[in-house]
Amino acid sequence: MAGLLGFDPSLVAALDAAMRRALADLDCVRCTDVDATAAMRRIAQCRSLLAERWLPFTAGVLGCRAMDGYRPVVVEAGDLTAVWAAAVTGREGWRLLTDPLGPSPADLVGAGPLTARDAIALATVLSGAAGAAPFGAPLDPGEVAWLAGVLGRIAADPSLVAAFLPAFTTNGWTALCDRLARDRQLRMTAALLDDARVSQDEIEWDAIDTAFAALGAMVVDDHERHPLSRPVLLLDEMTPFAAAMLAQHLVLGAGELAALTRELVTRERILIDTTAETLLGPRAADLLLATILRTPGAAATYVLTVRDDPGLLLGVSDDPALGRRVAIMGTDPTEMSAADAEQAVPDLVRWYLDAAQRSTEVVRNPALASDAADLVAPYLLPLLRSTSAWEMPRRQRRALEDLLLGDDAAFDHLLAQRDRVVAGLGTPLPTDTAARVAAVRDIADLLALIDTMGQARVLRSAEAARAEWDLLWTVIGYGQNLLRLGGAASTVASGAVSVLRRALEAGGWAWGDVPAARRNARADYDRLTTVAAASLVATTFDEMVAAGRIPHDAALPPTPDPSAGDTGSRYSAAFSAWLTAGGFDDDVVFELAAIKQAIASDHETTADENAQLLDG
Amino acid sequence: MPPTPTTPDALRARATQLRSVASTLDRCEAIDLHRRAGDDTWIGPTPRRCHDDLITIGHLVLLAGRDLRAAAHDLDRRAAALDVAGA
Repeated sequence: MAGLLGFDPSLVAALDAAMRRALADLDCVRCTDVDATAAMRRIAQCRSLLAERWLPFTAGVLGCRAMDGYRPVVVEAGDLTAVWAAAVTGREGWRLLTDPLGPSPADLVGAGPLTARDAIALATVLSGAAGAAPFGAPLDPGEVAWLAGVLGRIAADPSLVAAFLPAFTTNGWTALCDRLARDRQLRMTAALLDDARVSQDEIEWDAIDTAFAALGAMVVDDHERHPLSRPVLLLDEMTPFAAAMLAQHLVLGAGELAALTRELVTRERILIDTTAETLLGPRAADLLLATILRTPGAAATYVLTVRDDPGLLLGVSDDPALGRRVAIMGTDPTEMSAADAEQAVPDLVRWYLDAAQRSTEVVRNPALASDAADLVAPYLLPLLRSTSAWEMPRRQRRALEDLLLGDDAAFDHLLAQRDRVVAGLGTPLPTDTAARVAAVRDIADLLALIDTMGQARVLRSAEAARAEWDLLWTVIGYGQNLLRLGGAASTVASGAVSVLRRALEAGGWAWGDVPAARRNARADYDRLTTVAAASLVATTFDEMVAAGRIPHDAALPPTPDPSAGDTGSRYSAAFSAWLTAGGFDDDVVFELAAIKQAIASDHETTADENAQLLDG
Repeated sequence: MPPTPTTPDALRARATQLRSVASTLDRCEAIDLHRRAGDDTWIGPTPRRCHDDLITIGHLVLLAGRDLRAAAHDLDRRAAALDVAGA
């Protein structure tokens, strides 16, 4: 093996100059005395060594201009790419020099293919000081981009993954993921600090996300090869956010993801509660809840996992919509059994009722009431019906309705979700008369609940408008007192002003006509009941004709007249007459009457109860 | 080669010249060249050989100076002997 030469060009140049001066000195030493012969022979030997051996050598070293600017490198422990380059070149027995003309260290692996030894060198470097953050310093963007590129190439090649993972220690995983995750949070915070929004040109964490994706892919690949391995063990020592960044790529099953999410979110909540939060943007909870939404079955599992502490679902994410979406998806009747819903949904409702009383939570999520409306839409009947088996005391039922009615957007949300509202209704077998009647009773109760809530909302709106109207006139009366000279003080408007007010109210100009609103609500209620009853009777009639239980040429059931003032009583009379004249079998008569009666009487009963509940 | 002077003054003149050359050698930078060629400047087998040669050069220069002073001393002794013989 050839010898190696390392040198400092400036010091070699200084040596070269000194040797030339020394040679010049020696050249000046002349002495022809016979007694100086031996000394002059020694001097000649010195000149020969300098002039013929070493000056040509130093001139050769210095004359190689290609090495200009190439200086020995002292690699800092925290300089990730340089340490990796030093590890690779050191493995080959080379020296690492600066290269002013060549690519940066970050590009060193860009040209050629990665080898298993390159992957091992990187894992070793990342497991050492270079993987950890010295003094919390963030990685240079160029380093992150380089790292993401190399990790991506390793992740894409199973042989490189097989070389990389065994050399990457658990401490290395923790240090690297913590460092990358914190960098991401800092960059996100910096982007959000300006205007609380992240514009496209402010996104500087793509490379970090890519690095985490590559690391996650490696773990998944390894787990597929070694099914007994437990990838989540890698996350034990990481910060919650770092663990979440990695976990979202681990393709975990619903149960494991739910358990991990609970653990990480609990840790994160403690950190946030016990330290001054200075970072903005998504938290571990946001990443994990988003992952849950993408994982089949995970939403319902997580809802049940945090049943004892729904705040771990609804009160932990930076974006409240994520918690809401998981709650809605997880409690949807298509995802969650009725028995589980009976356990989970009331707990979630109670969390919303409690959160609505906390200003911090209302500030965090101004759409709290709307979120609650979205959640309860499929479960209105079991949550609000007084005869429900669900554990919802009267006080909580009242509080829930107040929450929904106290927010226009919330009630609108509820009304807009027609499909989800009816999703909570049962689908009985067509041959079971009792079940069919019970289903109709459910429909009646649901209609009644929505109907009375709507009425209450109209009345409250009218009452609020009326209060504004009254306040207006009170203020006018106060103004009168200010303008009156020497008169008795009174806040009641009188005289011409009172005449004016009466005239306005008589002409229908007053705000908030509460009696009229109540009358209109009753009329709407009667029409709703009647139309609902007639629709269900007609549907049942069609089915009975199709089943041969009613002759094809039988008279059709009566239809209600919504324009009439007494729609309900007119329809009841017509229905009774039709049923009597029809000559139907007894069971047909019984079933049709039961359906019509269920809508009418049960609706009224439930409506009365709910109205009473809302009136307090 | 010129004929060797034999008078005491001539011998002393030669001795003075030899000492002058020796003094010149004492100030020669070649004596300390090796200090510039250590591991701070360069490393490797060839630099090591260069370093060793530069030590040798310094040593040879010192020896040359010592030789010259010894020769000058002999000339002074011979001049003194001639002085005694002439007296």
